[in-house]
Order: sequence, then C-alpha cells, then structure tokens
Amino acid sequence: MEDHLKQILDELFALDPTLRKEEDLVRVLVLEMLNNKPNVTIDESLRQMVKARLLAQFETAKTPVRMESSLSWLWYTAPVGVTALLLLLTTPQLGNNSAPHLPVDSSYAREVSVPPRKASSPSMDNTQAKSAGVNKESRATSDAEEGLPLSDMMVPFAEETNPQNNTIFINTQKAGFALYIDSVVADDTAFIVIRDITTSEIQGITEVGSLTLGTPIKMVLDKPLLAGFVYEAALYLDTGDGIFNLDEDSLVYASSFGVDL
Amino acid sequence: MDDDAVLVQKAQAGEAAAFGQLFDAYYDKIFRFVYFKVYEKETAEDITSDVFHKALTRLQSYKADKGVFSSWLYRIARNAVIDHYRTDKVTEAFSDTFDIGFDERTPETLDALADLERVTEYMETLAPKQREIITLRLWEGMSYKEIAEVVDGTEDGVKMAFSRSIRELRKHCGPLAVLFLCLAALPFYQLS
Repeated sequence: MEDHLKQILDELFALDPTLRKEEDLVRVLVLEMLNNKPNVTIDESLRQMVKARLLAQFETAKTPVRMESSLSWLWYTAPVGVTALLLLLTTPQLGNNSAPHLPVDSSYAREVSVPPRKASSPSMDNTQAKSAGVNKESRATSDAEEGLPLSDMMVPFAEETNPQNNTIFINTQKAGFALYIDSVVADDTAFIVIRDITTSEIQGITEVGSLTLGTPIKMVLDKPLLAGFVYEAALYLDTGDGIFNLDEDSLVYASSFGVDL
Repeated sequence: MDDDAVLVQKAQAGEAAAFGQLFDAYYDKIFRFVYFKVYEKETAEDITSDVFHKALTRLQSYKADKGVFSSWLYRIARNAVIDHYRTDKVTEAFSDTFDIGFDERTPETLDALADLERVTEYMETLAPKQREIITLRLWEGMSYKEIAEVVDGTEDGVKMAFSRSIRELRKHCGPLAVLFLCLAALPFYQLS
C-alpha cells in the first residue's frame, strides 16, 4: 500500500508540481481513497455457475485454433480457385446447362447471400426496434428504397456477391429454445440474428468473433422455435462497436430453415 | 510474455482450462468495474456474465500486439455497460450518480461505513470519466497505459485527467481533508 501511495504521489507531483505545495492534504486524500475501496460482495455460487456454463460452451463450440490473419485462407485456396476457373473456361461440358441437377435439400433452398447493405425488417414491432437500436421510421425508408423484404430476395452466385464468404449453414431444427448451427464462417466479429420469416420477429441474437474455419454454434434463443414454422438465420458484420445495430451493421448472409413437426 | 498472454494463447489454441484461469483472474475485477457503473447487483452480475461470454466468442480476434488482455476485457465490459444504458431503457443518465448501494453490502463497522460514505461523496463531485479513471487507477491498480487502452484515450491524456481529478477532489474536499489531517495528528499531540 505504502509503495502504491508513494508511486501515485510521485507521479502526481511530477505531472502537476503545484500540488506539492499541499502534499500533506493530497496524501491524506489519496490514502483515504485507497483505504476505502468499496468491498463489493461477489456471489460465489453464481460465479461458479457462470464459469461452468462458459467452459461447457468452450468445449462444445471450440473456436478455431489458428491465430492467423482473417484473410490468410486466401493463400491456401487461391491456387485451387484459379485451377477450377481455368477448368471451367476450357472444358465445354462443365458449362453445359443441360447437365443433370442434384436434388436440393429443402432446408437450404432459400439460402441467399447478399452484398453488405443496411438491414431492413418490415414488420418488426417497436419494442424490437428499440432493443436493436433502431427506429421504425428509418427502417421504413430503407424498405421502400430496397423494394423487397429480405426473405423474398434470391441472389445467385454467392462467391461474387459475398466475397468474404461469410456463411451460415443451418439444417432443420427441433422446436424449442435451442438452435444448432452446423457451421458459421465470419471474417470479422458478427451477429447471428434469428427471425421468424413471416413476422420478422427476432427470436434471438448472438455475437461471434472472427471464425475463419466453419464453426458449429449452439444458440439459446429468447423466444422458442415453433414446429412447422420457417425462420431465417442472418449474419451481420459488426461495425466495430461490439453492439448489434440493425441500421449500422451490414447484412452479409441469410439462410432460411424449417422446424420439425 | 506475461501470465495472461500465455493463458490467452493456450485458450486460443483450444485449452478450456486456460480460459477458466483467465475467468478466475478477472471475474471479480470486471464485476466491480461494472458494479461501480450500474450500482445494481443483479444487473452487474448479468453484464459481467455477458462480458465473459463475449470474451469467449471473440477470443480469436484478440491480438496481443494491440494491447494487453486485461484492457481488452475491460473495454468489452465498458461497451457492455454502454449497451445496457442504451438498450435497456435505463432512464437515469449514464453514471450521473455514484451510488454503491450500501444496503446490498455486508455489515461493516460504523467507522468503515462513514469512511465509505465520505468516499462516495468525493466521487459524486467528479465527472463520470474522471470517476472511471480514479476507480481504475486507485482501486484496480491499473497503469495509465492500461487505462488509456480501456477508455480509448492516450496515456498522457489519462495522466492529465487523473491529476485534474485529484485537484478537483482536493478543491471539493479540502476542508474535510484538513479536518482529517488534524485528526490524524491528534494522537501524536496527546502522546507528547
């Protein structure tokens, strides 16, 4: 304590030499502040519970183990991409539209990938709008500008419109509060937003860090998924403030999924 | 490399135990930091839990060359508190008061409570940012550099703000400080 006090006083007098004239009073003041640090009580059982929950989460959704630049994957995938492109351009059969189509898994049928844009959500109520940090008027304007609600947008060629390859792969879910996402790739800190596709009501939001490898995520929703309903999982890149904001964060990917009857 | 940096590296490599050690090292500190801003035990508990959840999900984005782990964690906590005031319809302006909730605290001696009330009065005279710097420097023992990383300022700026805060306190609490100086000297005169 004495050392800490001395260090603080020395620094103070170096910064503001005029304070030295009142050294004794300043010493009493600082000492009193140091001695009377409020002793806030911690709920130990809660602390252990939070720790156990976090560690369980750590084990279930292990984060990527590499500490590389978020774009470093380009070094590894670029040669493969170039080769594939050359093959596509030089081999006529590969571009043949009459080639047989594989059946599409219905849970992926409505996946859309859109370029970063300001989010819009036509029928969200006021409470949700406030909790998401937006107001209804500003959203209405952007809806009018963009014409269609997100759920009606189908944008092909994900690689072209979503160059960062931010994606969510999600399969049919079971009813309830738990939601399992098979894989998330996010180039930077992002938010996964789960919405009812008809009402646009937000069921839950979770934040993820940069996930350069596809990472499975388990979410506990605020509102339960209902059997037979269709929902949408949307990925928004954070503007950098760590807070989800419907107006500012960029929507980069959305995928719909159903809930088992 | 300090202990935190080693633990962070292990946690980023997938060692849950390392993350557990970081949690143990910082839970109380982050809780206090949040509590001094929201003054409500349950809210502080919720926010603290949220801070560590965010730290877990963002762990891979933490880069040691951008600053120490503690500052990174405090910054998440600071943003979480701002988020709380912004989204939870809290009517009271952010940190307008300094109310550490005496009724939620463990019983202490009357003297200790009186001291605490006096410190609370001191803190009330400061602006929220000054209060934050005083808390981090005096009560959490953080360096000016670490505080600068938390409050998103410069080290020199934080030093100046700290010295200004002490000057403010000295101005507002001057008569009290004089009184306590006299009281502290009293036993000496009684003995001599």
